[in-house]
Amino acid sequence: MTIRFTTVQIRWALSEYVGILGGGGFTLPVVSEVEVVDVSIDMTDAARSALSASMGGDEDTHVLLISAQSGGCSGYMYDMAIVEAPDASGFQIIEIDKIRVFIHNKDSVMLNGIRVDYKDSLMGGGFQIENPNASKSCGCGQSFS
Amino acid sequence: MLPSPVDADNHSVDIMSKSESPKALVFESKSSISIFSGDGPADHLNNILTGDVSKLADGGRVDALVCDSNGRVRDVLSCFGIGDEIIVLGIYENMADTRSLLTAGIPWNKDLVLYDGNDALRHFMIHGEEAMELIKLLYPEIGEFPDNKFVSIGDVIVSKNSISHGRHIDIIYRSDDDSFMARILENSVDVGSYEEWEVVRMQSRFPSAKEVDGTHLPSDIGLGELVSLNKGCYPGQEIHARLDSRGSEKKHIVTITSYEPIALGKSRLEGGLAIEVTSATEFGDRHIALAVAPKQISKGPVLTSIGQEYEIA
Repeated sequence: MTIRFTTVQIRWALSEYVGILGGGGFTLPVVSEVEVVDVSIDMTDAARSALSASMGGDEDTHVLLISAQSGGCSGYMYDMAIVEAPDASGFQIIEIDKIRVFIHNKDSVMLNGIRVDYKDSLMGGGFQIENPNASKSCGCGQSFS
Repeated sequence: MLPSPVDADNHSVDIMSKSESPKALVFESKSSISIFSGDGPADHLNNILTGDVSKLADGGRVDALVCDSNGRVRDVLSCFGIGDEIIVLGIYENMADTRSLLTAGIPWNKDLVLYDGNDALRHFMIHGEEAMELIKLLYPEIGEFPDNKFVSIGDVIVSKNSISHGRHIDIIYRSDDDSFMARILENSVDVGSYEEWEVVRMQSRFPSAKEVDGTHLPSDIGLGELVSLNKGCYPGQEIHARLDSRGSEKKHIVTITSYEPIALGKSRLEGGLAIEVTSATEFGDRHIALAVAPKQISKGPVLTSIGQEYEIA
């Protein structure tokens, strides 16, 4: 099942005040500019069952948060966590079997189109992410570029 | 931008002694200057760079590389800890890619912002075997300072890079502060041109964007010292660890001089070995170049397959 969710594109402020090297500080332009796309994700039946079991009936108060950040041997690392529902601003929310999946707009380009699977194995098992945007993945499966 | 620790004395050129000043020259560098501010910029940079930035403190300096997952060098960054902020100097031509990389992986819950400091700050370099003498001429009040620290005189930051053994000093100051230029004028110190810098950096095997183009390993271009194999994961770490454990560094960077023009790109030498000329310019009646060459090629004269005479330094 693929669910699409539309958001408004974020444009960070063009400049903010930064104090540096003493004196009166500078007004510097902000480099960060976030590209945002509408995220769609795919989740296998095995992943849905495992996720439902992990939620333990807390679907009303908790969400699955999938994110990406710098790290690992290939540049970026995935993170998946079941957390108390954060403030929804800035997130795209995808509902799968009554479980809310939160993906932040910042990560939308990197995580758009991912497929979440679950492997029931003593070694190397657990949730796994296949990412069509990744040009290279680390052997451990947690890092991509 | 960093020079490799080589002795360029035996192929020095006249431009170093064009004034009465110590044997070093001042150059303005068109660097990429960014400022990281907010929630843990050192930890964030540490996930990306080849050097350990995690403990960068106020007044500290760390030089490190940005590499891709194949271990190739994409940029050379110098990080200066200023309170909770970090000034990041990089190669200007590589600025867009590096800034994109630095900002793309900021965790969603971290309030971390990268600012463009190109107009707000200026970067000068003092380069040469008597760089320390020249900075002491400009700033007699300056004392000794280690490679991994900087000293500040008012709003002027002065520091040595970590692998040039005192031959390269970076000066960063606010664009609205003219005290550095005033000292340059008071002491009649020459500021070298871009053309002179090109000659000097090629003598010193100092890589620029022409070498740091995403196709070379750190050791190929004299930057192997900026890779820490003890700091944990960063892009390219697997490749660097494998090269280290197998001892398979096959190339190094060399300076070439010739009385004939030196063509950029790949060139075959007599005997079959090939070199890649990455930068080339002329000075006086000679030509100078930087090349990535097999380690079997060391100092001395060589002939190209088409009969050109090169002197490898």
